[in-house]
Amino acid sequence: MSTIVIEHLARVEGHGGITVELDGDAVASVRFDVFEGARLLEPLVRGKRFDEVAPILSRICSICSVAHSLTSLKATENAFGIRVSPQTDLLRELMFRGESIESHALHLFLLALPDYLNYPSALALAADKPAPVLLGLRLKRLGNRIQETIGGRAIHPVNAVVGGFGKAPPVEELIALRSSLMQAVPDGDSVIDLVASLPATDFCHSDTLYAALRSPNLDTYYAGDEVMVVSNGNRAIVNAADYRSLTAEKAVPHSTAKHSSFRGRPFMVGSLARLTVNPRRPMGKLAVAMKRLKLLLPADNPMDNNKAQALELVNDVERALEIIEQLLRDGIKDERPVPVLPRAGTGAAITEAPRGLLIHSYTYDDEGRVTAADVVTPTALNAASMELHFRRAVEQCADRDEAAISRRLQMIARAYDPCISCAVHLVRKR
Amino acid sequence: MKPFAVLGLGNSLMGDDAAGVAVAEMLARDSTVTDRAEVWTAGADVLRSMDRIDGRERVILVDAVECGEEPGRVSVVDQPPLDRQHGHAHWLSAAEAVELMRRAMPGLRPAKFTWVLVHVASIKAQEGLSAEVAAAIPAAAAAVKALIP
Repeated sequence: MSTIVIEHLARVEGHGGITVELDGDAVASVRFDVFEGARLLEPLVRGKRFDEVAPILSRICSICSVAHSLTSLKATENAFGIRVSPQTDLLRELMFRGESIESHALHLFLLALPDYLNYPSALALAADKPAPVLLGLRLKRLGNRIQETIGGRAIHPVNAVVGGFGKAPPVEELIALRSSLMQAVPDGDSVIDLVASLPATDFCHSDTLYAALRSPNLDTYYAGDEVMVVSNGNRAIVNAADYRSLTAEKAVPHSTAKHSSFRGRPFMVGSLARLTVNPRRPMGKLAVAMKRLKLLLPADNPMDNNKAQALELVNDVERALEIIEQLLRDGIKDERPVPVLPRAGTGAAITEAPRGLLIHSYTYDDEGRVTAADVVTPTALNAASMELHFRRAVEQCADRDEAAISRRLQMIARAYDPCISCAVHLVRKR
Repeated sequence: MKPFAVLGLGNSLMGDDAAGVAVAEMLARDSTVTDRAEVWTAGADVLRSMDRIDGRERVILVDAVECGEEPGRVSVVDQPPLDRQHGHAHWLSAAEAVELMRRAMPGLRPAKFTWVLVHVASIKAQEGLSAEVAAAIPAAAAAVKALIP
């Protein structure tokens, strides 16, 4: 028996590794080891008032604080039967776009790109090839600006509250944001040019189950309550309130992140899943870009998630621009948040964080205090799928070369863009 | 655009990590500084300030540093060590982020960067500075002023 150990995955968020055990040429086991300590944030909100929950739980992640904050608000609003205004929906969608632009730019250009171009880090890459790093930094900054303008600050937004927004963004700030987005549209072409020029990563093929928010008629990360699971033309729909039938979480001994499966099969969430579940979304310019990237759906290669992120990055800039145009055309109204009448009950919400499906669910008492909370993050949902793809990559590495396996596994891990720190949960012993 | 930029780095909820923030807040009230320099608190993500520092002649970063030196000591350096242990995937350390911007942004290449470092004993979740670090804030502010002719 021989063992390949990647003790610490570099350029991913949090602490994780990979262990491969080979019995001769046979693959005995492949583990995605997650040893990040439990975060205990769900117990922290027990007993808290409804208006304290989103600000606390946005702290799960600094890069996805918008997604955690807005998914938390949506779950609370579902619990209390609150319907927010169309303007609030648009502003929240815009915040999601800002976060996605920031997150995808950071991942593609600073974390994944060095792999393709054979550099150990973005710092080393920037010394030789500053242009793509600058492109990434510029787009990341644009994402930050959207979040600052609508959410009040770039991380842990303060302006989004239960029922709406504390304050509508001033028209002049939206106009300035529109100008920045228009300047960024040509950057989208540069993103596609760059990603299309990268060497092929053809070392892991696997029939894959994908899950994403179903939005057949709307390009959204935020609206909707149904998840579609897709594999080989087979489809299933899961409602937010029934999310546990999708996640079926279980603890595994080698990971502080639980593993999820749908009807016994691991599934993948994130950019590639979103494009696969909503195949009619790529239209016009995006469809052309998709052809240039040679991305065929449904994909059987997890490395294609990087291509899907590039497409989303381009689309996010254009979608953000559309939303601002609509807000300016309709006129920004100085709305107050919908009044909250707490009541006992449970509310669950599902959205699309940059890394994939994000689920928040709370049970409230009749005073509007949390009695139970559950948060399921994209990386936790992806953990079992990552492990499956690691195994396939080892199986498909014919000569079992240790260096090649190690490099390929790390590239697959990074293609998932995992946020391990967000994925760890408290495991209760029974 | 003012030729000098002064960034106070740090997180006010992490005790002495906020030393840079405290120095920037002190300097922002001093018109002899703000006549020549734009002063702001930059939190923990220097990359968010990339637009504001682009094109400056000199960028002065004020930050807390925990490296075993006597708490409250102030040092002025051109290039702190790239502390990769404290950087992570979604957040580079301040030194790494500055280095990344210097390499990637043409507008920053002529700029001179200087770090004013306030040494701290530890960084932990609490509000307010320790007595030793609080006492060092005027000296750190004076060190910044000395860099602005």
